[in-house]
Amino acid sequence: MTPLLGNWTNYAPADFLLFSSEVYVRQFVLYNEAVWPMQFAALVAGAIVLYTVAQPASASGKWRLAYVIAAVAWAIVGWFYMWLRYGEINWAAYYVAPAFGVEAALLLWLALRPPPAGYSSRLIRHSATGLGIVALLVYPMMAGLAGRNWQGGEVFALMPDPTAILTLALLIPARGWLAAAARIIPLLWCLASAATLWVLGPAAFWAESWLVPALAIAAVILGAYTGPEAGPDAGQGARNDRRS
Amino acid sequence: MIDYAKISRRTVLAALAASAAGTALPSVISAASAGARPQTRPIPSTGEAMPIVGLGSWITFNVGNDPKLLAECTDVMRAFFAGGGRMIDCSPMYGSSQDTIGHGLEKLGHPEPLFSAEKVWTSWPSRGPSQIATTRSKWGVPKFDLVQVHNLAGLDGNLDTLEAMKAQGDLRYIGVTTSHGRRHGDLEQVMKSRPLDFVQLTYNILDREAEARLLPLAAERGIGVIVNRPYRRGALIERFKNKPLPPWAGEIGARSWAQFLLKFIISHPDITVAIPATRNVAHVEENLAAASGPLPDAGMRQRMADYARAVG
Repeated sequence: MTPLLGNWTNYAPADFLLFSSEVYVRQFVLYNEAVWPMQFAALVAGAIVLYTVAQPASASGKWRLAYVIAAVAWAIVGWFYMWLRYGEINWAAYYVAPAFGVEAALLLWLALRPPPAGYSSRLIRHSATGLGIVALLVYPMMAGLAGRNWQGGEVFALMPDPTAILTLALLIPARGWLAAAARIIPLLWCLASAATLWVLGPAAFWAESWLVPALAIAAVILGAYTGPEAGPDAGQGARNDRRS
Repeated sequence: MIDYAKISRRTVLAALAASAAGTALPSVISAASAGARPQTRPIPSTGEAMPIVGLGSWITFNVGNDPKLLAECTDVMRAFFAGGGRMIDCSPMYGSSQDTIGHGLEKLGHPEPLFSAEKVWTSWPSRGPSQIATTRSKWGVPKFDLVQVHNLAGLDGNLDTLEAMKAQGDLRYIGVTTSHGRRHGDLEQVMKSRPLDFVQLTYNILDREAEARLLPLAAERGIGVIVNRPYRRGALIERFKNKPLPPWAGEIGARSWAQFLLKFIISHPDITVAIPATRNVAHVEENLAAASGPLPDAGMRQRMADYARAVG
C-alpha cells in the first residue's frame, strides 16, 4: 500500500506524474508493436459496437453482443495494457486496473438485461454515432495528426481512452441504475486521462487533452437527456424485438 | 550586399573556426574538465569522501522495459561513473527506476565507486524490511550504502528499522527525505531527535528556505545534506535559458545556466552532494564538470542569487 502523502494539499498535479512525455508516447508505440496485428480484430469488434450505436432501434441480440464486446474490451485493456504495460511506469495503474474488471462485469450484466428501447430523437442517435466514429476511427490517428509517432495510435479494445469513449456512446440510450453505474468508470477514466495529458504537456497532447473529457461529458449528458418514447426514434426497439 | 572581393581566406577560416567552436560547445564544457574529477566533501559522520554531484533518477529513469531508453540510461550511468560520480539515488516511488538502475549496473559490471542511496517508502513500517529487500534485488547489490525514509512516511517505525539494520551492518548510513520545501518543521524535529547520517531536501537558487535553519542545523549535528530538485525538474533551466549569463560567470567556470545553477548549490559549505536527474549523457557530463571547476564563495553566491532574481 502506498503511503499517505502527508499534507496532500501542498501537491501540484505535476507532482503525481511519474514519467516523462517521451516515455508515455513510446509505451503506446511499443504496446502496438507487441500486439500487432490485433489492431485489426479490435477495429472489427469496435465496428460491430459502432453499428449497434448507429441504429435507430436494434434487435436485442445486437445490443447484447455490443455489450459483451465492450465488456471483453475492458477486460483486455485492464489486463494487457493497465496491468502489464502502464503499471510498469505508473504504479497507480495497479490500483486502477481492477476497476476495468468491474466495468467489464457491469457491461456483462447489462447484456443480460432488457436492451434499450432506442433513442428518443434522431439528433441524439446521430450524436452518439459521431462520438463512436471519433472513438473508433479518428482516435487511432490522433497520435500521427498531433505530430507524434503514428505507431502510437490508440485503438478501441487495446487502449483505455477510445474504449471508454465508445463505451459511453454505446450507453447513451441505456436507462436505469445499472446503465448509470456503467457510465461512472469510463467517465472517471476520461477525466483522469485528460488530467495526465494536460500535465504531460498540452503542446504534445493538445487535441486529446480536451477531446477526451469533452467527448466523455457529452456522452453522459446525452445519456441523461434521452428519455423513453420522447421522439421519432423511440419505440422501434420493442417492435424489432417482437420481429426478431 | 556581400562584397565577395573583400572576403579573404583568413576571414573564411576564422568564420569556420567560430562555427565549429559553437557546435562543439557541449564537448568544450566537458573537455575542459577532461581528466578533472569532481570535488569531494566528507560525509560528516564518517569522513568518507563524496563527490559533490551525484545522480538522481526521479522520472528520468522510469522507462519501463523500453530497450532504447534503458540503453540511454545505461549510457548516462557509464558517463557518470567515468566522470567520477558515486551517489545514485532512487526510491520505490519512482516507478521502474530501480529496475533501470539494476539493468545499468549489470551492464556496467557493478562499478566499484557506486554509492547506492535508496529509500523506504511505506506508512506501514512492518513492510519496510521486505520493501528494502525487494529494492535490493532490483539493484542487484548485497546491501545499500544509504537508505532514507522517503518523505518522512512512517517516520519513527521506519527509522527504527534502519537503525537496526545499520547496527547489524546491513547498511552504512541512514537518512530521511523531503522535497519541494515541504515539512521542514518535521524535518528539523527529526534532525534534532534521531541519529541521522543524511537528510535530503530541496535547495536551489530560488528555493533557499533551507539556508535559514536546516543547513546550519545539519552542520551543527554532523548530518550530510543531499540536495534534490536542483533544477526544479528542469523548470529553472527553462526559465533562464533565454536570459544571458552574467559576464562574470566565467570567474566561476560556469559555461551554461545548468552549471551556474548547480555551482550555486554545491558551493554551499553545508551541502554534501546534489543529485540532478537526467537521461542525457551530455548533461551528466556538464553536471560533473560543474563540480570540478572553481566554486563561488559566499560573496559570489549572493551575487549569483541577486542576478537570478533580477533576470528570472
